[in-house]
Amino acid sequence: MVAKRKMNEIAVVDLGISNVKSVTKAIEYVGGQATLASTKEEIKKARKIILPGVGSFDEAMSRMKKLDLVGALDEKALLQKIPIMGICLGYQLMSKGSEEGQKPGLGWVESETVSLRRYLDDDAYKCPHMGWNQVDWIKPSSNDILFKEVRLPSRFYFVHSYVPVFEDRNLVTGVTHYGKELDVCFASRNLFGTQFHPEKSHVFGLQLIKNFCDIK
Amino acid sequence: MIRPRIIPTLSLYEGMLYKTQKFKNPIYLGDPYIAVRIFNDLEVDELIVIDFSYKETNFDILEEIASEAFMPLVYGGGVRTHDDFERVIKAGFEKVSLNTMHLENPQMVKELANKYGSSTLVASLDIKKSLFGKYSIFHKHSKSDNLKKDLNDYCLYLEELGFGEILLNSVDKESQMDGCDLKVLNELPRELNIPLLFQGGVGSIDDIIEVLNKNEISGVACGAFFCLNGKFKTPLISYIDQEDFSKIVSSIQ
Repeated sequence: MVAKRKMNEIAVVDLGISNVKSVTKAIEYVGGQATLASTKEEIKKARKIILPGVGSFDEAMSRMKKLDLVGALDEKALLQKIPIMGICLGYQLMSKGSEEGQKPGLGWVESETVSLRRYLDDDAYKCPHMGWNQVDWIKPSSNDILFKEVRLPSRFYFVHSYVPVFEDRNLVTGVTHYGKELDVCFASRNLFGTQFHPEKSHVFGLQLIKNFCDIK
Repeated sequence: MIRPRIIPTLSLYEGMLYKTQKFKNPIYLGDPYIAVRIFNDLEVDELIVIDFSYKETNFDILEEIASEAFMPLVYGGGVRTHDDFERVIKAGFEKVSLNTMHLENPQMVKELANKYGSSTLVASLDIKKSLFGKYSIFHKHSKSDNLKKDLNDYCLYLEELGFGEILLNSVDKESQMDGCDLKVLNELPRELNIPLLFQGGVGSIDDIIEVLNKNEISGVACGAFFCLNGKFKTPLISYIDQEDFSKIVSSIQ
């Protein structure tokens, strides 16, 4: 008998290279249930997924291939369309590819991850972009479900040297200003991503994670 | 634009919080979890926890601290091996501050930077002023030849080793809360590319403004200012309120 999976149960993808504890701790703090997923069977059972990430793009892609997760994740994201949120590197992995590596990304969204240093092209802005920065939400849309009741002005903790850039501006739900306007949040139907770390961003980030847990 | 970094520092000794003065005369502050929970409720932007027992790292305490905190955390103290480093990160800390290691085992710093990335490594550097006004690197226990190195060269060397930032502690000013000795900045390299955090001497909002107005400095860390109150130095956890924060933001160029 298979236990019925609750909607607030979130599978956190654990590739063994990043610190997933901060994410599981945040999920539990807002009343969700966190389970770790590092096999395709665990992914297949998931009703909601968070793809966290610290580390390099290629390293993460090759770990996912090695653990044989890519097919299962693709099915969840594109066919079953369950809610999936990428955080930091996890957000970048959803794009087609990154200037950080040679390998293609998951390619779920039409975005390209670029080098921040090259994109900004201004020595006055140090890379990595590290610290708290304000995020401005772009126009309310049906996709703003993640930002419901997040206190304004919203600030979040960033640490990154690469950032996705979206051609379709309608997908971008939040921007931050660091030399240029950076696309730091997106939503596309069931897929969400944040460049910042909600799990390290006090009430601002916890509300966002709660909103993700609450998606029905 | 990025917010100015104003970071409380907590110091641990054998599982409890103490605040030393010029690295001596510890004042007992209490239980670390309570302090961390208060700092979390006060929404501090970052938190540094340093264990000055000079013993092996107590990972249980680190896990409990991290479970109270939803902000970036830095830990330093007793980290000697790859395994120690990994356990600190897995406990839920973003960055590890290293002091003895860069003096005595620079090769390991390089390895850790390659494995975990520079943004996880903070070089802690204690600075003491001699009677003749010359600044030098201070370490209570180490006899490394690196202690004799010129400060300017040593900071560049730390960047080269792979550190993502440097935390400069002014030992003579620790817990004095009578203003910062910023003359030491004249001995630091202009060409340093990584962020420099400064600690030691902050006793007022104006001190914070003065430090943050220095181009070389990316952030200010404060121990006593956020842990002790008044001239009798009674333990009290506090942080900058919104009004003072706005004052700081508007006063820095």
